[in-house]
Amino acid sequence: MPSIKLLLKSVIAFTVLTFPFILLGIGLGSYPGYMAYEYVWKDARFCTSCHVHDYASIGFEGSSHKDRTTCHDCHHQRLRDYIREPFVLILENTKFPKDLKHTPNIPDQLCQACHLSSARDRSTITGPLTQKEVDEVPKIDHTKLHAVHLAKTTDRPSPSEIPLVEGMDNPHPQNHKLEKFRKIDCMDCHGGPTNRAHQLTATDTACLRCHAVHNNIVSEVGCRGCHSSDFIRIIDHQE
Amino acid sequence: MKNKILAIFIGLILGFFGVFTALFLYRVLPHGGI
Repeated sequence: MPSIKLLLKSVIAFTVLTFPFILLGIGLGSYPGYMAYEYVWKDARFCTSCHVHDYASIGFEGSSHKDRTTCHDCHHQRLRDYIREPFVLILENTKFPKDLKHTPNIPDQLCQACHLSSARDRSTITGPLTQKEVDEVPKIDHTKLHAVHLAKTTDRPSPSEIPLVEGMDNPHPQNHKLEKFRKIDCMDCHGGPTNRAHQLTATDTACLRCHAVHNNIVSEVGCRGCHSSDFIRIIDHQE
Repeated sequence: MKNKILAIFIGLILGFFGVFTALFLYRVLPHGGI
C-alpha cells in the first residue's frame, strides 16, 4: 500500500510541476485528434481499407448518393458493435458471401432523413450536404405513387427477412406471408437481393411481390415503363 | 528536460485521444449507436 501512495504522490507532483507542458501537449495533440475523427467518420477510404467490396464500391461510384452521403449516413450500428468489430474481423475471419446471411436492414428513418418532408430526425446525417441542400432534395411524400405506397400496408415480409441464398434465386417470393399486415417501408421496393451493392433503384420484381395482376404485360414491357414517372413527379397541389 | 518532454508526450496522447473520443461519443451517444 505505501508504494501505491508513493506512486500516486509522484504522479501528482509530476503533473503539477509539468502542467504547462502537459497543456502544450494537449494543444498539439488536439488537431491530429480532430483530423483522425474527420477521416474515420467522413472518409470512405477508412471504411474500404478493411471492407473490400468491389461491386458495392462500383455501385456507389455510379449512384446518385456519391458525393452526397458518407458511409456512416446509412451504415449505422450499435456502440458496442464498434468495439466488437475489430475482434470479429481478427478472430472469426468472416468471409463474403457465405457469412452474409441476410441483406442489410435499412431502417426507414435513414432514408426519410433526406427524402421525407417531415423527417423526424436529421441529426444522424453527417454527409457533406448543408441543411439547405438536404431541404432541396426531392421529397417522396410529395410524389403521387410514393405517397400512395407510404400510406398502404402489406402482408409480405420485409426483404431483409428473406435469406440471401434463397433470395438470389427468387428475389421476391410471393408465397411468404405475414400473419399481420405492416406498413410498407422503403426496403420493400429499394432493398432486397436485387438491390445488393448499393443498387438502390426499385426493380420490377419488387412490384410483383404485391402486384401480380398483369404478369404477362410486365414480362413484355415492365412496370416502370409506364409507372415510374408517377413515382418521381412532384404532385402539383393545384391539380 | 526529460520530464518536460515526457509531459508534452503525455499531453499529446491525451489531446489526440481526448478530442477523438469526445467527438466520436458526441456523434454516437445521442442515438445509442449510429
